Amino acid sequence: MTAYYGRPQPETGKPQSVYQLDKSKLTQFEKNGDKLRFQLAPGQSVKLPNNAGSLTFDGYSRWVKLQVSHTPGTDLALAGILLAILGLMGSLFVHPRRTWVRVRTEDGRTVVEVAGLDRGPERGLGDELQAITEALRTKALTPDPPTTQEKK
Amino acid sequence: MTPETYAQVSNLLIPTATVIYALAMVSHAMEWALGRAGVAKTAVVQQEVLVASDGEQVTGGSAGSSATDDVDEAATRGTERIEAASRIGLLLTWLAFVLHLGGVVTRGLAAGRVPWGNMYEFSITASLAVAVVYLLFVHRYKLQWLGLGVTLVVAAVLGLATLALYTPAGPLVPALHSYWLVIHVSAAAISGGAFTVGGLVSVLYLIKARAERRVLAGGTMSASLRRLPSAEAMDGTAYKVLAFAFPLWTFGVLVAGPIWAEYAWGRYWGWDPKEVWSLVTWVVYAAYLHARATAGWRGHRAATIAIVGWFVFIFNFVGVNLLVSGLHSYAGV
Repeated sequence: MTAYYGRPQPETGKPQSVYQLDKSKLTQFEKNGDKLRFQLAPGQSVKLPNNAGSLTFDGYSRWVKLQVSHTPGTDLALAGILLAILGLMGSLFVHPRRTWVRVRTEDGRTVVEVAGLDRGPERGLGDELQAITEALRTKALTPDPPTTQEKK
Repeated sequence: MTPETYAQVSNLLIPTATVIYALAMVSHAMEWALGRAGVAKTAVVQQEVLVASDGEQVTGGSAGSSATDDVDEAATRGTERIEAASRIGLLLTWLAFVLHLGGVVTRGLAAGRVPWGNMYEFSITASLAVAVVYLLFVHRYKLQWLGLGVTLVVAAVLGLATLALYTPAGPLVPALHSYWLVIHVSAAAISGGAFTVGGLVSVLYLIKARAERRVLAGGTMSASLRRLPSAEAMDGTAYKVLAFAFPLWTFGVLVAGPIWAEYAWGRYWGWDPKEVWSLVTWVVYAAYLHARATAGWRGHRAATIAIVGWFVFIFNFVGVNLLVSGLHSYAGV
């Protein structure tokens, strides 16, 4: 063990550890030109140099510091984020688009209108409208198509 | 074989693979250079044809047809040479890949665990993943045009790993002893590989889109750029790759990572530099997807965000480890 002396520090409000001595404005005791060092067993005492008083080792008690924390709802949070990722994947990989075919009669002619609307971040409908038009044309040109097979 | 022998074999295979990847890169660079030279020649011959066809109109001679033959012949010769360079590049990539795979496997055997426990191992494994994806899909999706970019990135990563990041094979630091190592790091490696591919495609998109604009303005396009898919197709490819990478990054890095951090370090999120930059990467790619989906950003502006995201990822991968110290520093780097 060793000992320090100095003025008591003013209270600053900053948090400090009670197990650690702030030695920045303290001076270490010296004895015979060397730093003061001594060993104490419980019950023993030592006189400090320059009549600075004495130190007595009264005894010790065992202690333990426990910190208990509890974070409820982590499973729920995990389930939530996994669902969110699934939803995200749906919105990224499912390509939302709308196509429609309108048939109307105009001046005795039948006008077939094929149109589409792309709502996704990917570019355009591609050749889907072309494919629909081709399918309609083939169907229109084939006499009596089997209706059960055409349903989807 | 003993772990020491495996380690020696690995240390021999990885630098050899690096050199052969570099040779493949040179071959692919030749492919591009030949394409460039090709256009100059074709342009000159085209002018001759114009003159010749003028002459034909006046004289009715057969000069025009012979000039056209010359053009065809020159073009065919050029294309053949470009094709040869491309094929040699692909063959060399295969050879380098086999050695690379051997190097990664022996590294794992030498260390007795999955070979991504420190930055050197992560680099050689992640670059192997890039090579695997490229070689798997090169024929199905006609990705030969990515050859230069892929070999450049893989050779650069392997070279950097060998020269700057090398760590001898050894046991894991205690914090990494967990099956989360397999989940978290492999997800980071795969999505990182996809970010890299998305970044490369976006760079090529910008080049091709500029060339297409020049053609619309009446200019010409070099043969090597003609070999690229259309700018529109590459824009779509970049989106698909990044849309695949983003959920994987979200889960692997921002969900699995914090769970592992809770087990290893006692907290889910501690603003460790790597964590911060992973989040920044996530935000940039989220911005990319949002800009496309809601603001309708495409092409040039979307590609710019994708490239920024790639740089952020690279900084997170290399810069954070080398410049700042954090909890993700293993084996010195």
